Amino acid sequence: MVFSSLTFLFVFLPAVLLVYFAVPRQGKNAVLFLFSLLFYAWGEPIYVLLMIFSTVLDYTCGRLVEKFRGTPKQKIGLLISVIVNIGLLCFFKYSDFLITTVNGVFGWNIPTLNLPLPIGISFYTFQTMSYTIDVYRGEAKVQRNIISFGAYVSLFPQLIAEPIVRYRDIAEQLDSRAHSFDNFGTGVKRFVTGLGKKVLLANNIGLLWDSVSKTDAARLTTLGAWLGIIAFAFQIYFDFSGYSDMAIGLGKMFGFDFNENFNYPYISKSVTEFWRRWHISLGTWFRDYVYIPLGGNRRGLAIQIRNIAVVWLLTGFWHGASWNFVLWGAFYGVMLVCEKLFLLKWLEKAPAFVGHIYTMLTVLLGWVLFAFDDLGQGFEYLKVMFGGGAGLVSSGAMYQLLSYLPLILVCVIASTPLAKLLYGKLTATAHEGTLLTADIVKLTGICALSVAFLISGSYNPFLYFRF
Amino acid sequence: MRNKVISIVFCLLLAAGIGASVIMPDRYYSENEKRTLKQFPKLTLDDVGEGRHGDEIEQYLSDQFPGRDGWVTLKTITDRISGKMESNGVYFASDSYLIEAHKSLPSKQAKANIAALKMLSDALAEDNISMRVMLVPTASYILSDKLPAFAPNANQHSVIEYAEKQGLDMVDVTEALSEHKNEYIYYKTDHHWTSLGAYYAYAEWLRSKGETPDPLTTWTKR
Repeated sequence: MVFSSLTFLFVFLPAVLLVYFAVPRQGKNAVLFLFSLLFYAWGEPIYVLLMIFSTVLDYTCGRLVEKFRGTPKQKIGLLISVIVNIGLLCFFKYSDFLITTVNGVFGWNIPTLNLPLPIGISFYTFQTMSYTIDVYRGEAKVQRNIISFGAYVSLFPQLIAEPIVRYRDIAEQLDSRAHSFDNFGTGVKRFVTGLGKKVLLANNIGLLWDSVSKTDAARLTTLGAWLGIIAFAFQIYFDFSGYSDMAIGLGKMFGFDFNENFNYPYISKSVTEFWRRWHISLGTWFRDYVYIPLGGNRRGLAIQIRNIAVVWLLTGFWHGASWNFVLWGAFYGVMLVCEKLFLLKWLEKAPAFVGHIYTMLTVLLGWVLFAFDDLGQGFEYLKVMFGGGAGLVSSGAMYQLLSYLPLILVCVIASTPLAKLLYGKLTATAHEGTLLTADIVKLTGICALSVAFLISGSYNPFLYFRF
Repeated sequence: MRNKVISIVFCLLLAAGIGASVIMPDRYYSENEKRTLKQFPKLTLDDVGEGRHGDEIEQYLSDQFPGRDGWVTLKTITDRISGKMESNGVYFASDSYLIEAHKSLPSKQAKANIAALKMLSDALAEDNISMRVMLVPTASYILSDKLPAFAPNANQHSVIEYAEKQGLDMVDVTEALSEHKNEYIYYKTDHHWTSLGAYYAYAEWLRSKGETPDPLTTWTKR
């Protein structure tokens, strides 16, 4: 099930809220666990077993680590968890990629498995692994209650997508958390903001990308190609950050505090800054469980560059089992190393707009690599962007520009903290009544428009299907 | 305090949606959309096992959502405000015309159809029956001045030219209609031509046979 659906908004959410707040404190995790399994099983009835397996496995591994702490056997639980989780991920996500590659290299003909990817497997395997690793490192206490642990693994607000919540960050909240109107109201506002980002901005600007990406490269113009990739950049940002907002908001309604996942990435002045603002929970995961264990930046520049390379190849590959994602990761690895070595120093001396333009250009070029599974198509598209297409402008591209200009402007403004700053100013000066009116107008406005767009059967893709 | 009110408003919105859904009876047919609406799905265990139930139920909720027509209108208004110049393949054209878009020609289909017409015409010719074909351009071609700026628009005349080249005896009414494009020859909210538009095509047909059409004044308007 996805949040941006009528089923979620008018059936699942009311039901889970009603039951959750009706049962006493001791039963709340069980309610979350059961509803989360239902949420997952709604779209993936069979694969819910896989998630239950992953839950039981890591619960046991955590207990094993605890039991053998201080003895050489304490590594057993850790190893099982890491091997099985990575094994599951590789089997379901990468086996066909591996088979195709092997076939290509050796000229063999092994049939592909064509397994549908279990939704969210990239997210929950990373989460359960982080639990066992944290217990092993002594950074988290072992969880003895399997229901609470199950609630953590399957927690529906962040189950099938972002953010990746580390166990240690919500360990205490699992056992005791505060439910209040304050939390609930803050959560509602955040959820509705995310819903609007997804349904009103991402889906609508996604239509522009959809029509551009379906145009023959031979008929595409430079203007059309730039419009298309700008549309893709906004679609992916508002989709991902909208999803994170909805997850964080829902978490808040149930008393959880998830960490922030996006922080206005498109206002960055360098690629380094961009990655501190984009998909923060994934970056943190790779930092804590790959980059730092490899030695981070404390073992000389050569090792550091190797570590950056490893992390970015993995980051690319994590986004999808296809070469374009590997190249996308490698591209960012190279850009980040360049910035570390000399570019950042130059950028600091240059005026701010240079940094903004350079960053956005880099990010847009990156999105071209990201958007096309077929590298040949991606390069063809890049060629069109730099003048190698069917001319600079066509009336079709002008029509698209005029049709989408207002939405693009809204997206530009919504990518900056402008609205947040204005709201902050309002909070400081306005009366309580004015603020309440503003909040309610925003809430009902976004809800009504989102419902209208969901009902009218507009374009509503689930971009996470491959993660 | 503010958060308390917001919490309550949100829960009321959800409750209102559910309440109205429960109270309002399901509709079978939508007059505005000219289609039957999705009824509550009868699901088998197989459907659930394959995960088909999700889409079915979402479709049901969407089709039977209380005040569906109003929500669709709200979406269309929002689209227009946000600068969209078309909705569901229909252009918002000037003079309050709604004109069905034909952005590209279905060339494959057109070729196949014309080939079939040619076969029919050849077969009839063997029995000394002559066949003439009138391909009528749609409003988007004749009224192209009314379309939004830069709107993609297929050259429908090229199909008539192509058919002619294939050896079909074509009656081309493009010019006859274009001459009268300032009269009410296509409906504003429907993709058909009006009786007046049909009259000009009829007149052209007769003229092309060397006959004289009855003047417009001999027809009564009802």
